[in-house]
This record gives sequence, C-alpha cells and structure tokens, in this order.
Amino acid sequence: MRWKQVEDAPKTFVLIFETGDEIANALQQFAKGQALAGSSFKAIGALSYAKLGWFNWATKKYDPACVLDEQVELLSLIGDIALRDGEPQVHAHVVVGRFDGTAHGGHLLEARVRPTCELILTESPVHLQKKYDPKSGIALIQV
Amino acid sequence: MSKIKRLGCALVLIGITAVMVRSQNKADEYVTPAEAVPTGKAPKMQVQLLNPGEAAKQYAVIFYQGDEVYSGLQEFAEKYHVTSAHFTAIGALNGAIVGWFDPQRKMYKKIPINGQHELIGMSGDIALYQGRPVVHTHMVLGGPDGTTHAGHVLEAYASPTVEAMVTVDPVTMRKRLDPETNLTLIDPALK
Repeated sequence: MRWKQVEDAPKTFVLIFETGDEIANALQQFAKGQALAGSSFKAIGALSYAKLGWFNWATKKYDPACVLDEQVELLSLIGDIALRDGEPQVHAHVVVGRFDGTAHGGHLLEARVRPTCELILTESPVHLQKKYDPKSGIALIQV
Repeated sequence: MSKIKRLGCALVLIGITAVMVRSQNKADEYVTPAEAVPTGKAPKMQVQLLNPGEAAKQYAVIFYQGDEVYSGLQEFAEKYHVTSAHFTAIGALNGAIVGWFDPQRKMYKKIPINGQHELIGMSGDIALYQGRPVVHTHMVLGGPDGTTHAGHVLEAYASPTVEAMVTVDPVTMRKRLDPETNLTLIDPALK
C-alpha cells in the first residue's frame, strides 16, 4: 500500500492498495501510524477475496455473512475512524459486485485487493471518541 | 325479478368493496415524492462539528437505537440551517423502508426491509427547495447471508448505531420541481 497527503486543510490522504494487500489490516495500521482520531473515507477498486460480516444481536458478534473467494468489483467501501480507549478504530462497510452483476455486502472483515483499490481519507481536527455500549456489546461513537 | 335485482346489488357491492380494498393497497404501497418528512423521530441523535472555523463544515451526526435516520437528517438540516451538503453513513438498522421510483406513477414504490441489517452504505445530499432543506439519500443494506437490498431511503431505524459524516458546503444549492417526474431536482444555475 502506498499513500500520499494531498491536502492540509482538511487533512486529506490518498491510499493506493495493490494486488495482495489486505485492506482492513492495512487501514488499521495506517490509522495507528498517522494517529488518526476523527476520519472518514471511501474507496473503490477490485478484490480477489472478501469476507463480510453481519452483526448478530443474539451473540453480539459479527457473523461471517459471506465469504467470496473470487474476483469481485469493490463497488463501494465507506467508513470512519474514531478513538476507543485512545486507539484508533476503523469501522468500514463494503458492497461488492460479482461476475454476474449481483451485489453482496456487509461489515468489512477482510478484503484482499486485485489489482487496485483507491481510497480517499479525510481527517478532521476534532477527535471522535467511542464508548462501550453494554446493550449492543460494541463500542459506539459518542459526541 | 327481485332475485335478479338482489343478485345485481350484491355483485355491485362486492365490486365496490374490491375497488376500495385495491385503492387502499395502492395508497399503502406508493408514496409521493413531495410528502413531508416528519421530524422528532430521532430523539437520541447527537451532532458534533469536527472542524470549527473552516468554510466547509464537517459534522459527525450519530444516531442510536431506535432513531429514525431520514427524519433525523432532516431535523439536523433544519436546525443547522444547511443549504448545501453531502454525506455518507454506515451503521446497522432494524427495520427500514426503501423506495423505487416508478416513472409511470411518478411515485416511490415502498419496499419494506424487516429485521437486522448492516447499513452498508448510505450516501446523499441536501439542497434547498422553497427555502427548506431537502434530504435526498440512497442506501444499500446487507442481510445475514450477505445479500443486499438497496433503494431511495424512506425510513431507516438505527440498531445499535448509524454514523453519518456530513460536509456542509458554503454555497447554497437549490432545487426546482420537475413537472415531468414530479421530483425536485437540483439546478446548479438556480439563484
């Protein structure tokens, strides 16, 4: 993954992923490295593998809703970054298009790029904080 | 004669009832684009300005359990005097209605989507029509097997949260009524 800052105010980055890059992990690392604390991003591209989650209220965990071990268009990836206990936490959702044009989507668990993924990220000066929500069992943004 | 008359009456009554039931169904299944969005359905909504002092304002608009997102975005737009904006949102919903625009009827066909879904992507814009902000937004929802449903947002109930990132632009954008579709369309040239 290569990246470049393209604007100062608002602080804007372009991230370019290449074949074999895994988006969820790379984004988490990037957020940590740049100490991002209030960001939003969107991306398009194509993938060779995608694992998408669905939030299960009964278990309060993300079920792997679908695993696509095939070439798919990354039609839309949008998400945000907020702090949880001082650490940046990436939250992203994905829609992918299969060879026949049907769409699948869910919470981003794992996405392997082939051949490219182009992501634009904007960081704001004000931080966003997440707090554990006992009802859902996950951390939600509190403003 | 009276037998035939009675039979005729009964048939007419059945006919009227059938027509009434059908038109009632029609009214339930379709919604006109101009229908006002009721506010006050997102009582837990929170708003934070992310870049004080900048010309293009960035807001985090966060919804919690049970908040209706479309009505909340309308409320946000009115409260913060938004005259031009664009946004994206992700989260999860329990219960939603999306619309499909039927060009023949010039109305949105209501498509209810029940149960827990990932709000995979919502994107939209806000512009002024007759001095009032109008929220226009589309979304894609994902079910437990990763299959998707999508459409024009009519109702969307957050569960447990929806995170919207809104950019409010300093230049006002206006809409005009398009008589051919009955929709309000953004006209960048409109002053």
